[in-house]
This record gives sequence, structure tokens and C-alpha cells, in this order.
Amino acid sequence: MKTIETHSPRTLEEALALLEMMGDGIRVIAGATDVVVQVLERKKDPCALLNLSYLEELRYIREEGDLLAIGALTTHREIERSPLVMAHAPLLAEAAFIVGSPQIKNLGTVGGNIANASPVADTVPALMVLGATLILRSRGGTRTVPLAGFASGPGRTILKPGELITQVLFPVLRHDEISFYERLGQRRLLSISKVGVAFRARRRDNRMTNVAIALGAVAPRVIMAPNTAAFLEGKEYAAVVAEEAARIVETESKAITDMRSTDTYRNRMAGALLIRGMARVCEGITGL
Amino acid sequence: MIVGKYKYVGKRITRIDARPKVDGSLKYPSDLYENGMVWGRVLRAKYPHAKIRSIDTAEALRLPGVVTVLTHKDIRGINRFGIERQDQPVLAEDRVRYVGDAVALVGAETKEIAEEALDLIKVDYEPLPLLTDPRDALKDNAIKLHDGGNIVHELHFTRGDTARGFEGADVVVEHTYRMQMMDHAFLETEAGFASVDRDGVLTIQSCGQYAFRDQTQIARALNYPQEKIRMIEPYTGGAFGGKDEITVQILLALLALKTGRPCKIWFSREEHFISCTHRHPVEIRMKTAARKDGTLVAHEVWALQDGGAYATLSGPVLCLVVEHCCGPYLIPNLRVDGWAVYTNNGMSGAFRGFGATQAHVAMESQMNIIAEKLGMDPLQLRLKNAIRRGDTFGIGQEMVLAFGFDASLERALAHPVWRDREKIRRALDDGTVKNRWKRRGIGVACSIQGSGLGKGLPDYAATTIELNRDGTVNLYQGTIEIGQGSYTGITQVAAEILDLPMEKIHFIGADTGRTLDSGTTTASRVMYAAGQATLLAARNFVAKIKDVAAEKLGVTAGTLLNGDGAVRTGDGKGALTYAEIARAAKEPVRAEGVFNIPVADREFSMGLPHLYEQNILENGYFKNTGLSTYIVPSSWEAPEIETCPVEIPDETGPFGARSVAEVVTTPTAPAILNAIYDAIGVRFTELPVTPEKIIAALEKIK
Ligand SMILES: Cc1cc2nc3c(=O)[nH]c(=O)nc-3n(C[C@H](O)[C@H](O)[C@H](O)COP(=O)(O)OP(=O)(O)OC[C@H]3O[C@@H](n4cnc5c(N)ncnc54)[C@H](O)[C@@H]3O)c2cc1C
Repeated sequence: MKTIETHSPRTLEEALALLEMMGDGIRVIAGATDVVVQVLERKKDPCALLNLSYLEELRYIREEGDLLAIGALTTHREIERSPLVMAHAPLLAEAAFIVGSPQIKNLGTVGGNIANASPVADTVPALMVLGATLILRSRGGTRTVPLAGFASGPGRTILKPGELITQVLFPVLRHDEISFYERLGQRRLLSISKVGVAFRARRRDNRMTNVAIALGAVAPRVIMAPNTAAFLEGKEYAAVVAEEAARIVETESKAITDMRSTDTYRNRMAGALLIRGMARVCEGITGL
Repeated sequence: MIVGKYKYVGKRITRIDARPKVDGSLKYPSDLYENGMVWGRVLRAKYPHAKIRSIDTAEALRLPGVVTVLTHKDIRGINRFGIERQDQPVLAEDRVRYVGDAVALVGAETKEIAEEALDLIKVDYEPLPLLTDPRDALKDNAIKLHDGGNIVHELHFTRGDTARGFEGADVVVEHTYRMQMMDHAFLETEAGFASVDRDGVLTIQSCGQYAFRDQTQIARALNYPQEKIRMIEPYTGGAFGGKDEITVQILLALLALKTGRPCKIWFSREEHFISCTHRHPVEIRMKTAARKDGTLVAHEVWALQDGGAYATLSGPVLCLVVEHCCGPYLIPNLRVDGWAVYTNNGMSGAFRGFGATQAHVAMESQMNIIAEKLGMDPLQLRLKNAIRRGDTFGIGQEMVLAFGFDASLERALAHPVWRDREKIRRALDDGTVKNRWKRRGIGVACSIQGSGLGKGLPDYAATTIELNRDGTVNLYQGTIEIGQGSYTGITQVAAEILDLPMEKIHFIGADTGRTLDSGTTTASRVMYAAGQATLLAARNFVAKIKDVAAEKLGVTAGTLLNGDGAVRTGDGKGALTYAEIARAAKEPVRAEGVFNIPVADREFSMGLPHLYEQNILENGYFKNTGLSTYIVPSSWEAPEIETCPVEIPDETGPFGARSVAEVVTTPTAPAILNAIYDAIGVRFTELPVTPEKIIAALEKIK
């Protein structure tokens, strides 16, 4: 391993300028929790690093009207502990809680989790059912893209050269909305997701509406489960309903077998986690 | 042990190493650095089995910052090590037999340069056919991994006539069990630091489990005078058997001798995974027969143990598989055939449990299967066949001393979890959503394991206690603190006899230059053997200080009492503190205690699971070589544990103590296997049992 040249700009403008100037020759790092592992494992030495971790301007969680805006540099620890997130997007707090360990959560950022484009990224399914959009900035300008279309495959995104994620943005959950993030790893904490299920729905007249379900670790990228959501649309909660939904979600889950788990297990557990989560958030809610 | 009778023994006492470990002042081997030191890195084999045609180090040597690049040609001794049989090269000569074989050793100014130099060493290999299935190793036409063939060790034992036993039996159950390869996954990977002085005296501070044997192994491998090697190994960051064999020690010695500079070697986690010893994968077939009333009548065992590339402790581990293949039960007709073989699958050796773990998984599963067939309570079946004091069981182990097996079984039978197990199991069938998808099972398993190396092996420990002028004492003990807390336990024993506060006893651990040979830190023997040696040393020490005091006070030693750091006359009129005695003594007060372990084999207890982990190998290559893919359960996975000790003092242990390091880990896996069966009706005979396997099995029966 050789020493790697590292640039640590203090402002976003500086960072974007550097990025444009250095082009392909520079790799962005935020918490570096993914990048360090990649560098060590593949023994691939990037020529230079652009360290974003001093960009305080990208580290915030704030309400903007009906929206919650989170700066890309915000860490999992900050998200997990944020009263705003707990109140307006509890499933995101659940997802941030389960990431790695306290050490990893203190370094790892939500922007890095998204940009790394891994199907096992824990905050992504939660943000997907929240209908999140991303703000991407470059020297040339700003664009807003839906998170759902951001990752095109493992490690691949629609990010253009010179662009950074600066913000994640989503409508806050209303009082009549329920949500959860459930996942399984090889052990309870400090493990990579084998399968994850994010869920949100509105309760209206004893029924679930606006159902959205996203699945992690069961496809090359985080996917939505539209058929299961459609099945649940307008239904009253009951154990048998959850069980039938589970059977549908198992067919939408397209897992593979690798060192961590098997396809059968992952697909079956997508169903089991849906049941577990629904039982948790629906049971005891009057009318649902 | 009677709690309350003693001042220090049996008390909750803060570990003597707690503070320095927490504040960082205690140095582990990997903590040692020195300006101007040389970093050593090892080039490992590229293939699990290959011929080495040539090694070209020229380019690596040209890299600025490289101090030396060593190969087998730089070694003057036999270039071999191994606790039992010296068959493993320090640096490979013309052949590599597993991916962990060391091929070259680089010394450089920095770790990074050393790492870079590894890529510049050119090794010309000719890959050879692989031997990865241990069953193939037994075949006549198999490729031979060593000149003597592929069998490290084999054991055959018969008593009575199993065929006749099976004939007269009411049930016969036969199953094959497979136990996986596992890693010790200690926190501190193998590390050490070496230096050599002007007189050629090597000082090596390293991890290990037996400083004196490491000293011998270095001397033999490098042909270097043993008396010029000083090993210092008091504190190691975890071992569990995985540092019993040589790891960094010989390489460190070689590097220090060749460079004349202080040297550091610290294996990476990946290097640890591929090069070091593991728990043996073992396949065990058992055929066990019983009569209607539960009496076990015959037992046939076939065991095949995959030792990997080199012998290390495969032979002794096989002995323990065989010794424990009957569990703690009497079986009149027995036949055991066991083999430990060489393959290209990494290397296996000592691992907490040492063969007993694998044997009990099989035997304790058999017991439950038999109990079910007979419609008997599995604990009653065990009680019916339980060994008792005076019995000869297994392959001839004699239960000479007192132990509490049947008492433990009675205790378990009466425990509410067992008594009400039907109710506890059904408690989940309450129709609530929370419990709707859950199943519960209750399992049981027993185990037996000795303290000490076992019958026929010389097993002793020795402690020295020395009085300082300030009234404190130095306690010299050659065993190693690998995290188990034995230095604290040993100090408690000394404190009790000397009646001296713990903090007045300075502990000097494993150092061939200062402590006496006290045997290995393995086999659940330290608290037992070193504890007893310390007790004897302390008694001898007290006798000596009384002699000094008697002369000074003009009384006979027999009338003196010791307590609270002083020696007093019976009437309390005359007294001398330990400090005064030190000053009064004509020569330094120093006493030794040596303890020889008389017999082994007893005990029963319970502990934590090892159902998660597995080293996955494909064609001799390790697939999971990091802690993100080799998953070790964390404290979050640990269940609540209630211990119900049945305390039957060991007449030969210090204050009646007996060692529990290993026996507590052996019954857990089979108890959980039995509980899984109880919960879902699926019998697993292969470890580990992952959720994936459970789902697959449930899908099948659906
Ligand atoms: C021990 C360990 C455990 C882990 N456990 C989990 C877990 O349980 N769940 C989980 O989801 N993840 C886990 N991770 C992965 C990792 O911690 C997360 O993905 C984390 O959120 C990454 O954030 P980072 O800031 O460290 O990203 P970095 O490593 O700095 O970057 C990751 C990628 O994103 C890019 N990037 C970063 N920020 C931006 C930006 N603002 N704009 C554009 N591109 C950007 C980088 O160029 C890089 O390609 C674990 C990692 C480790 C080492």
C-alpha cells in the first residue's frame, strides 16, 4: 500500500471545483467505511482521494415544510438519534440503528450508503418507501432525481462525473401512517443484511392504503415489491392477510445464493419479515 | 470448596490484570514497537499443493527499505517444527502442502515496504494434484502428502463383542455426524517481538501457550543453542488452543539473528485464517444399542479426522475423540476405529474442547435418539448408564476421584425447566400474533472432560515465591495468562496461604529466564496444576519465613503463626513483619513448589454455543478469511445462562478446585441440536446449523 494523496476541501464549492478538475483521477470519500474496505480488499489504489468529511454544510437534518431534508454527510448515528427522524420517519431511524456498530455509525454517512449502491445498504429500502429524492450538485448545476432510479446495479449509479449527492429529501410521514424496517443478518448486530424489508402505509377507515414495500439484499439493487403492495391496498390487517402478503412478496424477492445465505432462505425471510413487521406495527392499532 | 471459609479463595476479587489491561499499560505482544525495528512479513503459498521449482528474491531485495529476504536456504537447523512430530517447514523447501505454508520471510523498514516486497518475490511453482477429501487420504492409491503416507495417527480399540451386543439389543441406532472446521478467532492475531544482544542471546516476547516448548522448537529448527534463547510470553490476547503450536516465534528468531536488529511480526487477520491451526473437521459414525430398560449394551464408532497439511496435535486430538466417544457412560461392548489424516485443507490442531467437543456432539445426539426410540426420559437414560466413582469406562479411563455426574443429573431432573418442559414448550401455542410463528424446544446434553494432559503423559507445574525487602513477595509462574484469569486465581491461592493482600504479591508470568517450567497452558490444567504448585510453594515459603523468625525471636518455628503479613509467637508477644524477616534473613528467602498431576478424567458442566461458525474451504483455498465473512456470535447472541453448580471438591486440586475451561463448552452444541429436534422434529447431524439449513429442512418435510 502506498500513501494516497488526499484533498480535504472546507466548502462544497471547493469540493466541486476539485472534482471537476481531477475528473476520473480522484475518488470521493465521506466516512470512507466502504472505500477503505474496497481499497484493502481489492488492493486497488486510487490515485487521489477527495475527502468530504469537513463539509459541515452538508451535515444537517431539517424540516422544510412537509419535507424532511438530510444533508449527504449526515452520519447514521445522527440519523438514528434525531428526534425529527424518530418523529417523522421512524423506519429510517430503525434502519440507521442497525447499521454496523457505533464506530461505523459515527463515520458512515447516508450519502455514502446511497452512493455505494449496494443492494444491502440498510437506509436505502427505508428511503425508497419514503419516496425520497436526491439532490445532485456539480459545477454545472443542480438536478433532482428519484432515489428509486439512482442505482443501476451493484456499485453502479447514474451519478455523472463531477457530481456529488448533497441532500436526501422526502415527505414526512403523517400521523396516520405506519412504517417499519426489519432485517436479518448473520448475527443480530454488526453484520451485513441477508434480507431487509421496508414498509409504509396509511390507515384509512380501518384499511391500509398507499402501501409501499421495498426489499434489500434480494436483487442486484434495492427493489420495490409492487404486487405485494397492490395486494395489501385497501385491506384490513389480519394475520391471514399478512401471511398471504408474505407469499406474494416471496415471489417478488429475487435472491441469490452466496457465502452469507441461500436464495430460498432470503426469499422466505422476505415474507417472514413482512409478517414480523406488520405484526409489530399493526397489532394493537385500533381498526387495523 | 466451602465458600466463606477463606479470605481470598472463592471470593469475588478484581482481576490483578484488570487495571493495566483497561488503561493500556499492560503490553500485549502486538503492542511492542521499538525505533529502528525491522518489520517481518511472510510470503504464503500460492497453491494448496505444489512443487517449488525455484525462488527468486533478487527483485524484492532491490526494493529500497528492504533489509533482508530469507528462504529455507538461510536456515541452518532442521527447518521443521511441530509439537508432536516435526513435519512442518519453517520456510518451505521444495513443496507446499497448504495455502498457509510460509515460503519466504521479508524484513523491511516498514510494514508497507515489507508487504510490497512480497509481490516482488518470484516463486516458480508446479501445481500438484490435491487431496481434499479425507476419505481419499485412506485409499492406497491416494497421492502421498508426506513420505510416511497420509495417516497421522490411527487408533483401534475393542472391548467385549459388539456383534453379540447388537444381537441381544432392543434398539440399535446408527448415524453419521459431521463437525466443521472452525477458527479460534481470538482478538489478537499472532504477534511477537525479538531482539538479539552482543552475546547472541535472543529475547523473544511473543504470543504462545508454552514458552519452554517454544524455546525448544526454536533451538531445534534453527540449530541455535537453547540456553541463548529467552522466551517471554506472559500475556496473550486470546488463544483457545490456537497459539499452542508455533506461529511467529521461529520466524522472529530467524529474522533477529539474520538482521541483528529488533524485529516485529504481526500476522494479518487473513494470514491468521489461512496459516494457523483450526478445530478439526471430524466425521463420526456411531452405531449404538440399548435394551428396553435403557441399558446401553454395545457401541461402534468410526471416526475420521481431517488434520490438514501437518501433524501438529492431530494425534492427541484423535486420542481425545476416541477417549470421549462413549460420553460419560458405561458400555460393556465397544469397538472404536479412528484415523487422523493429512489433506491439503489448511491445518487443524488444538482447539478448546480438543476432540471431546466433536465426540460429544455425536454421542449426545445418539443418547437422545435412543431415548426417543425407547420412550424414555433422556435424562433418565443418562442416569441409568452414568459412570460413577470407581468405574472404568470409555477406553479404560478409571474414575478414581470423586465427581458429581449423577448428582448433576439428579439436579437437572429436578430443575423446573426440565420438570415442566412440556408446559414451557407449549407456552408459545397461545394464539397471539407474537408467538404464532415461533417454536420452542428443550434439549439436554452432558459431557466429561479431564483436567490435565491425561494418563501417561508427564504433567507437572512449579511455582517460585520470593520475599522482597519491603515485605511484598514475587510469585514466579511459567504458565500463560491467555485471558482466562488464571494469574488472578493463582494469586488468590498464594494470598490465602501467605495471608497477604493480593496487591502485595507481584506476579511474574511465563519467562524462561525467570520462571520454572510449568507445562502448557492448555488442557484445562492451569488452575488445577499451577494452582496446586503455588499452594505447595506458599506452604514451603511460610515454613521458611517461620524458620527465620524463630531464630530471630529465639523460639521454635512450630510455635509461630503467620497472618496479615507478619509472623507471630503463639502468645502474641513477639512478632516480625515480612519486611523485617526479609532483612533478618541471612540469604534471600525463596521457596518452590512442584506439583505432579496424579490422575485425570472427571467433571461435568455447561456453557456457550459454537453453532454459527465455519471455515469454508474450496479446493484447499479458504473462502472466508475475515471477520466480516467468518461470523463469530456476539454478546447479543448469548442467551441468558443460569448455572447450577454441583460442588464436589476435587481432593487433588488447590482448595478442592477443579478446572472447567473446556468441559463447559462441550455439551452446548449437542444440547442445542437436541433442542432443535424437540422444537421442529428435524434431526441435524452436521454442524454448523444455520437458519438456512433449518428452512431447507422445513421445506422438505412440508
Ligand atoms: C464493519 C462494517 C459494517 C458495516 N455495516 C453496515 C450495515 O450494517 N449496513 C449498511 O448499510 N452498511 C454497512 N456498512 C457499509 C458502510 O458503512 C455504509 O455503506 C456507509 O453508509 C458508507 O458511508 P461512508 O460515508 O463511509 O461512505 P464512503 O466509504 O466514504 O463512500 C462510499 C461510496 O460513496 C461515494 N460517496 C460518498 N459520499 C458521496 C457523496 N456525497 N456524493 C457522491 N458520492 C459519494 C464514495 O465515492 C464511495 O464510492 C458497514 C461497513 C463496515 C466497514
